[in-house]
Amino acid sequence: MATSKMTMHPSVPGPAEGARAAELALVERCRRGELGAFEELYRAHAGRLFSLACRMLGNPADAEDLLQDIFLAAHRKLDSFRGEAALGTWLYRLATNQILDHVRSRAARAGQITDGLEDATVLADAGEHRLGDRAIARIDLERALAQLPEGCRAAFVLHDVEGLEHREVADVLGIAEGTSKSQVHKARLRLRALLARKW
Amino acid sequence: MACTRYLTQIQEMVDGTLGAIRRAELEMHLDQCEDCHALLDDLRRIHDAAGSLDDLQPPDRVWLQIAGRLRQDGRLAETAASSAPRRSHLALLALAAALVLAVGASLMLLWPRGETPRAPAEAGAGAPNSGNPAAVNSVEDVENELRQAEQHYESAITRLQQIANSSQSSMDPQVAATLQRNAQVIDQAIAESRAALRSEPTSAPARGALFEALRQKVTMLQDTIALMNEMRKGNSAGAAQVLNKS
Amino acid sequence: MIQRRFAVLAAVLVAIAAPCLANAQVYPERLTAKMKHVVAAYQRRDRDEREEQTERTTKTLRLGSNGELSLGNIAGDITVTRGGGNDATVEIVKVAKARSADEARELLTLVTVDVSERNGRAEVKTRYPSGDENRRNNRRNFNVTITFNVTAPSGTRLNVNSVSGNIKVSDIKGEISVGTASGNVSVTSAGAIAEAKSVSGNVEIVNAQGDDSLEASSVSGDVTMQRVSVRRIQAGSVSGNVKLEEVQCDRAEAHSTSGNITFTGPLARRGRYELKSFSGEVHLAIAGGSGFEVDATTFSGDVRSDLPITMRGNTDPNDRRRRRSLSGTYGDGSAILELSTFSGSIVIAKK
Repeated sequence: MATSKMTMHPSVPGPAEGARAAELALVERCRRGELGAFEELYRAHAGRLFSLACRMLGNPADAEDLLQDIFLAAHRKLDSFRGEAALGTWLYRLATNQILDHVRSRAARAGQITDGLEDATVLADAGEHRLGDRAIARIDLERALAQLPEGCRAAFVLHDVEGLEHREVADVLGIAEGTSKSQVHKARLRLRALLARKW
Repeated sequence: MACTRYLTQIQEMVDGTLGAIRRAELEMHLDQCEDCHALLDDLRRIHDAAGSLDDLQPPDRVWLQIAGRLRQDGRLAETAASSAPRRSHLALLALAAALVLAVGASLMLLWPRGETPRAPAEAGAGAPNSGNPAAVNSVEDVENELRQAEQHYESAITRLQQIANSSQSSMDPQVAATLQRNAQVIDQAIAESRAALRSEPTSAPARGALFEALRQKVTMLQDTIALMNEMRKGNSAGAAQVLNKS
Repeated sequence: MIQRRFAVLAAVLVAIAAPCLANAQVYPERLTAKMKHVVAAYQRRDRDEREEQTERTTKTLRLGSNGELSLGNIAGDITVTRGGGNDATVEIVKVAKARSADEARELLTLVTVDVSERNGRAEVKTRYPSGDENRRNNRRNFNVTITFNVTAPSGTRLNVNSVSGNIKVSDIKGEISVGTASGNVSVTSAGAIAEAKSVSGNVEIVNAQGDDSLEASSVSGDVTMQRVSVRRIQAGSVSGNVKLEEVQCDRAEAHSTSGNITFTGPLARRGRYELKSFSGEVHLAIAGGSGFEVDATTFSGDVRSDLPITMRGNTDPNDRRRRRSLSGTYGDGSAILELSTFSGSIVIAKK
């Protein structure tokens, strides 16, 4: 498991004292309205949050809009940042909430939360979907990820990409742990089919 | 066809949550079933590939929009606001530079004929105060103006440089090397005119040269970025579908 | 030979980089690493590629007398000349090199040229296989160059781009835009030229008459214009020279960082001419026309004028000492000259 990913997760302790002090100083400068300070904060975290948004939403254009909303919200809420958690964790939590709100409202508009998944056994049909010994190019994986149905994409991104455990995924998405498992598992099978089809 | 009854076990194996007993059972099966073996391999590789995906970088416009909104909503302190590179500022500084040149040139007429202007302290003492006290003030103003304008150029250059670096890889290395060499030519010009300006702070040609060099650097970086976009467009039939939007 | 090699290399790199369009920004390190790999592989293989195969095809495009033609090439030269009638013809010459003749033949099929045409607009574009296709074919390099030999009606609007290769355009009077990253650009006997650009090659424009503005630039090459008459000229190079010879325009802006700037030609009434270099010389030879007001400055070079200029201020015109700036008027003073160089010298001569 990629532990570096976990440092961003809310349950993991924050950085050392020196780093914490530096973060608080940066936040203070942002509060005073220094654009340079906020840009520093943005540059440090935008990539990570943009990746999350992009993959969860499956659409870079939406992710751009959302990223903007996330940082504007962060700027508004900086007053409430007390430094209990690392700045990255605080931002990550804020971003996750915004992203999930977005996913939910989009799903509500579309009139469905979960998708009609194909039977897993069909997807598991090995002969047809085998990847063989070909390498999985990241670019292909990103592309395939974007094609997953909303529900299982979110679970997969949180579990396999972000490194959360099923229990945590369930918590974040407000679903049962078993549902998280089945969504992630189906996502993997679908991805396999999508990646195999490409060749 | 992978065996339906082992599907969950395979997935849990990938999750890393499969208990020892069921794991042993699965491993026995995998030894005999090539399909299930392949399935486990594939899913594992997908899991690992997903875990090692790099961060995606948002396009630069996102930050520009955020900065714009913050400014619009009045959430920035005044001095801080001016440190953001803005298009309108670039126009302003062209003006500032022109002003500097104009003022600089007119100041030169104040110096005794045949002598070159010296450092401001010396100049202040040398030039008769009775001559034009306002001119002494304007030297400081001009210096200020100059510093600010220079800062704007610098931040524009930094920003452009970031964009250029981030997509340098889409460029032929020979061309990239040419651009780099020539960026050094310009940097050299910037350094030389700066040094000249330090030795003769009121020298209009030194100022003019500094601004011209800074301006050229901005232009070259802009052209570089435009060129890289062209090159990427050049063969992008397959690329357009990668992400519907770039 | 060396150049040809780089041309092909450029093609390969672009072909590999291109599919990453959106992601070029995304995975820069990865892409760079991949490129190094490809460069090394290319250099290894290049030595063995001795078999050459050539394929020629010719397409006819119904452009009409004022059509629009876009040509996009990756590695190889492009030549456009005027042809009779209302059609354009494009001769496409593909040359592939590989270790065996079979392999070279196969390469020829992989690099394609897309031709599309509709309502007097046509586009001809080279396409190298995408990264996916490369992988499918297990290929890493493409020693393929494509040459376009084009004839087009005189009034054709022309847009020519190449990554690596020379571009030559002659006798086309429609609006022309040309650009190449590495290669020379030459445009002769043209009407309107919107822009002519190269990064590492020379840009040369000979005999052009138009009403609009003309922008020509190179980064490391020379920019030369001869017998050009347009409203406005913008010409620049970073390390190359800028030569404007026998040009006529209302406004000229020429700059170079380390190269020289030369201007010869008549000045227009109320014309404005800005010539700037950092470490090069600025040389101006005026062939009649209007008088001018001049501001010439240099930091460490000197300024010289062969023309009798009436100095502004109370400078003694007979002062023959080395001069670092010169401001004054010649004749009716109706054109404006702004000349500057940091460490070079400035010469105003009579033609």
